[in-house]
Amino acid sequence: MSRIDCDVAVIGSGAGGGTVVAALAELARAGKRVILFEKGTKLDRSRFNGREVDMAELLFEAGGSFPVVDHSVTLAFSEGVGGSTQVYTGTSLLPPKRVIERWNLPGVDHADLCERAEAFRVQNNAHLLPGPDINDNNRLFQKGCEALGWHAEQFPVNVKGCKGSSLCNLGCPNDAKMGTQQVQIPAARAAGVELVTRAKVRTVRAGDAGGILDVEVSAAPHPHGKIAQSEWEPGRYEVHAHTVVVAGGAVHSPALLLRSGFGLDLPVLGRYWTCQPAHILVGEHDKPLTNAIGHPKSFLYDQRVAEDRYFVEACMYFPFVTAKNLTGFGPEHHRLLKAYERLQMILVLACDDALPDQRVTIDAAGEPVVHYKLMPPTITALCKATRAAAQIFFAAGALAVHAPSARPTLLTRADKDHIDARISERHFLPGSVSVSAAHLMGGCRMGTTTATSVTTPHGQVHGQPWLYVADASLFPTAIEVNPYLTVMALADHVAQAVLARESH
Amino acid sequence: MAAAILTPLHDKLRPIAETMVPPIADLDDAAFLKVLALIDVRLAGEPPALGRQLRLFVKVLTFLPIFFALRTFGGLAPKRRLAFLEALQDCPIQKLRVGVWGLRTLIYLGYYTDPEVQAALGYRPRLDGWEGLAREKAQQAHEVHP
Ligand SMILES: Cc1cc2nc3c(=O)[nH]c(=O)nc-3n(C[C@H](O)[C@H](O)[C@H](O)COP(=O)(O)OP(=O)(O)OC[C@H]3O[C@@H](n4cnc5c(N)ncnc54)[C@H](O)[C@@H]3O)c2cc1C
Ligand code: SF4
Repeated sequence: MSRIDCDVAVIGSGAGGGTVVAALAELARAGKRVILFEKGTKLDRSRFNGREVDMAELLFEAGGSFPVVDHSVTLAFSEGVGGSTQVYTGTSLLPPKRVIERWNLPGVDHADLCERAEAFRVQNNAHLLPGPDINDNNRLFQKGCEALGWHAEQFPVNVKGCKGSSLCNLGCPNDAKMGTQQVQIPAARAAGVELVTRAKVRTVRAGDAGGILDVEVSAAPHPHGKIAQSEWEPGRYEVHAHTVVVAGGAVHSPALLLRSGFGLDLPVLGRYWTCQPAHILVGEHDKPLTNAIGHPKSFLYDQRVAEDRYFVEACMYFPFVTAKNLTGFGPEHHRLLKAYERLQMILVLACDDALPDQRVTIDAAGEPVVHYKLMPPTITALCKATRAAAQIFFAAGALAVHAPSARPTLLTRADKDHIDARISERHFLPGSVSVSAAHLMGGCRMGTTTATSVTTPHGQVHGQPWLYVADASLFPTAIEVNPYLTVMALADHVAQAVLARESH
Repeated sequence: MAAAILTPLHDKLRPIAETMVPPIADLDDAAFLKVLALIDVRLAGEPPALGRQLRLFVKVLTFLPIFFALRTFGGLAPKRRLAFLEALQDCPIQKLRVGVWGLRTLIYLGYYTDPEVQAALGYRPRLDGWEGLAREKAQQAHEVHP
């Protein structure tokens, strides 16, 4: 095993890790060695052909359908330079005050996080899309909300030179979506931060002057053909770093720390794992819409989030994802897919509680296993969200609405005044309704004691002054908005603690 | 080539797949095997136990109707096939619901990701977005009024 020495090793190049290396660029400029390890590869836009099956395999872990143990929910997260920012839609929302205040963590201040998040909004060119770039699918969402007297909020999206190909979740073929691979990582590399791809960190452990990483650089052929080789020769490396920052995401960070043996001293490691379970609803209109063209998302309705724990957003997905998300099968299911050009789509998302038994563990090979169940309050929130979405569709003029928690699933305009009765928890059977989550959080929660948390409010793992966490796994509870800006703001906050340690 | 996981069960799978996605009935054997081959590629990266569970589940779906209707799934009339699968989809046993969900999702993967099928539904990826749409519209207008 070859030995490598460095000052800071960062594990994972997504929203968290990408942000950390950008903040540590000043160390690299000052001559310190900072290395970013990413287990996936670096993909460029020439690989993004917009085909669902190719891109799901190329960009997502488990093809975008990583199952939780009871198979009631599938998780979507990505690997490769940029992590899940390669496939995110770019909805750029600030950390909500209510949630950050509820965290009640010394040193984690809402105003400070917002200031950092605002800076990333600017860095990522997040802005409101101008009217002509808004497609019919988004316009109908707005129209439906307005007709109901509800406030549809237009939110900023982080695009530059967007052509409106609507393929954001399959990798942007136009380099227009500003992820960490586009913005923060190139800036860090220009300052001298080293990037090592196809480099999976198997374990981290304490050394004499920091941490020691066991890194495996892969040369295995990729199932999807030729991909870039790693910057390092394939093989195993022992990397000695003064400071180690773990940013593998909410599934992999807890798993890495568990297989490294930290679970013995940290009883809540992997626990309080949470997400925003979501599913798609479609409304059928009488004429074709611009839906699969134009940036997919610009509007949300979140007025009920504090009370009813849900929010809903305009969205658009591709035929297979749509087929998967509609409940059922058979002639009616296929008929709706044939109406694809006339479909309006809404994503409903529930804000979940973080519970100790919802957790990440590892299997015999040290790989993550997610134990997560849809709890009754979450199902209730999804049903309420479905009712709200159904109202928006009808108010926007839809002829029919497919609601997974109704039986039969198709609501017609005759059902318009009976939505509350037609959509019911009774019909929401985990396992038969397609629920997926792309906003994953917790597992290495911040806090003040070892009994209730994994890290300090500055992301330092309790009892390990050389080891930090800087990604979505830090969230003590679920956040009530799309999370990437909060992840970046927190990662930046952790990076300040790392800078302070390195400057001593 | 990916290991054959569901392909060897094509005769048992065909009536199930046709019930779940009616236009699969129009596919010839070669085209249906292509659908299954794509599923096998997806399953190749999964633990072998999953393949075994799926094969077992296909056999359960095939033979379970014998207890209710004295016929295998393939021997049921199309309406009864659909009713049988719908009953399982909403049954109280989560494992059975998950099995139906998983199998139908794989069949959707094999069928609805085909670019020709997607085009027939009215979808095709336009990498150049609005520009591409405008060009197509101009072309169509030109074809109507050359
Ligand atoms: C389809 C999709 C759409 C989304 N849309 C939005 C949106 O519009 N707005 C929004 O706010 N959020 C969105 N999100 C969520 C957002 O992308 C995530 O919250 C955010 O990227 C999480 O950051 P992270 O650093 O925790 O993890 P990730 O970004 O997932 O990065 C983790 C990285 O670590 C690497 N890694 C893991 N383990 C190791 C290891 N052992 N060794 C080396 N590398 C490792 C992984 O390969 C990965 O690249 C979306 C997510 C998805 C999947
Ligand atoms: S809609 Fe814009 S940002 Fe999204 S993939 Fe297309 S060009 Fe890229």
